[in-house]
Amino acid sequence: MCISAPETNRDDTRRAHHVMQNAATEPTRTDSPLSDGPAVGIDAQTCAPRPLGSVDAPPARQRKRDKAKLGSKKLGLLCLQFAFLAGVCYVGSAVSDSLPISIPGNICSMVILLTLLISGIVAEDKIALASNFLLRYMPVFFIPAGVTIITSLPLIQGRIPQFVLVCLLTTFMVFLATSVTVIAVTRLQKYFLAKQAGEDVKLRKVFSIAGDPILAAYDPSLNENDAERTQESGRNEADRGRADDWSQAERKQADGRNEAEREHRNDLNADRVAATAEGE
Amino acid sequence: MDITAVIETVASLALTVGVFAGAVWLNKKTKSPLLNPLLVSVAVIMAILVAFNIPLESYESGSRLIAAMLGPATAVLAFSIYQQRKVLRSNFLPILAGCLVGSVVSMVSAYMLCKALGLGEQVALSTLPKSTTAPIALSITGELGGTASITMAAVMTTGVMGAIFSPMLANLFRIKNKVAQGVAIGTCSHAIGTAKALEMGELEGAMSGVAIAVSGLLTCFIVIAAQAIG
Repeated sequence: MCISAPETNRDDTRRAHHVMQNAATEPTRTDSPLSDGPAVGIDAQTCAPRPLGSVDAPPARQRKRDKAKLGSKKLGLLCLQFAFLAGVCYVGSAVSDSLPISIPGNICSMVILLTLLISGIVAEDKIALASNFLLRYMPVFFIPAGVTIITSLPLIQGRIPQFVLVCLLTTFMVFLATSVTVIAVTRLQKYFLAKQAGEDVKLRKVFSIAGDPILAAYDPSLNENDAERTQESGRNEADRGRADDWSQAERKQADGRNEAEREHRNDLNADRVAATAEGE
Repeated sequence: MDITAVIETVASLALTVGVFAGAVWLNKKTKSPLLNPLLVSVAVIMAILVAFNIPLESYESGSRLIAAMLGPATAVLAFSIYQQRKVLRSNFLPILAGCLVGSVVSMVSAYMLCKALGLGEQVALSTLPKSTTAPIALSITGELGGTASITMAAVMTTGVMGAIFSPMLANLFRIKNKVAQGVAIGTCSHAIGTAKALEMGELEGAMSGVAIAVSGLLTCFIVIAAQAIG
């Protein structure tokens, strides 16, 4: 039942998008499904009925009506998707109860949902509305749990500064340890890829802070999405400019070094450099 | 179902959503990372409960509806992971290694620091699983014999710290690798940090979501293994 419910959702979403694109030139925003849903519905109720004689309805009014349809449809979709997710969570907690080791129900539901998505049983867009809503407002759901801390304050009374200090220091340590490990292993992977390709790379240089620019071409995660994303991330202009100074200079150097031989591999990398250059 | 339950639910919902909306507005207005919306909301609601002498139990039972969304919200991280499956596949080894190192560092450093600062064995055991997501942390504390409410406080504090300081740390140490940023945020400050990571970008958010699951499970296994050994 849970799976059959969103079956209709995909069609609805497509139709909805279709209506939207025909009626309005505005881009479709799926990130705030609830907030514009009911509001538009009220708007449409106050909207006067279409005059009998006119063939062409005023575009604004037409748009409002379409939006209203879309609004209530979205709300319905959202509820259906929530129901489906609730079903997944129910199954998840049941699985977690039946497991011999203590893996929380939330994690079980996450794994189940991921399995459903990967196996193609549930299409991505069938749960997109509810998922985006939940991801967007995630901090809200932590508030009740946060407020219950009030009961634990007496337990650590007088030691609260130390307690906060522990949390702060470990957060720093874990952040640094994790990110450095990820970067180091990524570089090591690239190093072996480059070595296989007969490139002259030195391990010492790979683990210097700047890294070895040759390795940029051996990024195992290099794909079109990456290049696009680099273009998008012009958010923190000043910081990025400062941080990118050396890497950009070195990348350019690297590009010039073996141009002919590595050109085919470097297409995307060059795009990246161009994108960075444009950003400044 | 009596009328007080309905009133409690409506009032808690309105209070929570209203305060959070205000905190988000404040955060946008001041642009200060220290005024984290979650931190501000929790503090304001605590103050309101204390000031108006509202018993915590009535807020707790009223806000059950919101707390119940935590399950779907965690499950839905699968959606953001699925969207980034390509990046995940090509970075599988670094992510796994990062989560492993992060989990071990988290457990060891939390325990050692608590001991060093004289917080006692009980608090040390309760803060040990603090970098994992709340449900995992609570079940680990149960295994270890820690105090659930101290664990909850540690989990929340760590999460908020991570959300506040992760972007600063990434800037300070010039960590530009988005996968590394995401995995680090998820490993050190679970779902609260992930909310921040999602703000930073889709990729960071998804990697952070992956890291919650992976480092949570690794922490679970390490604790179970450590207990089995002795």
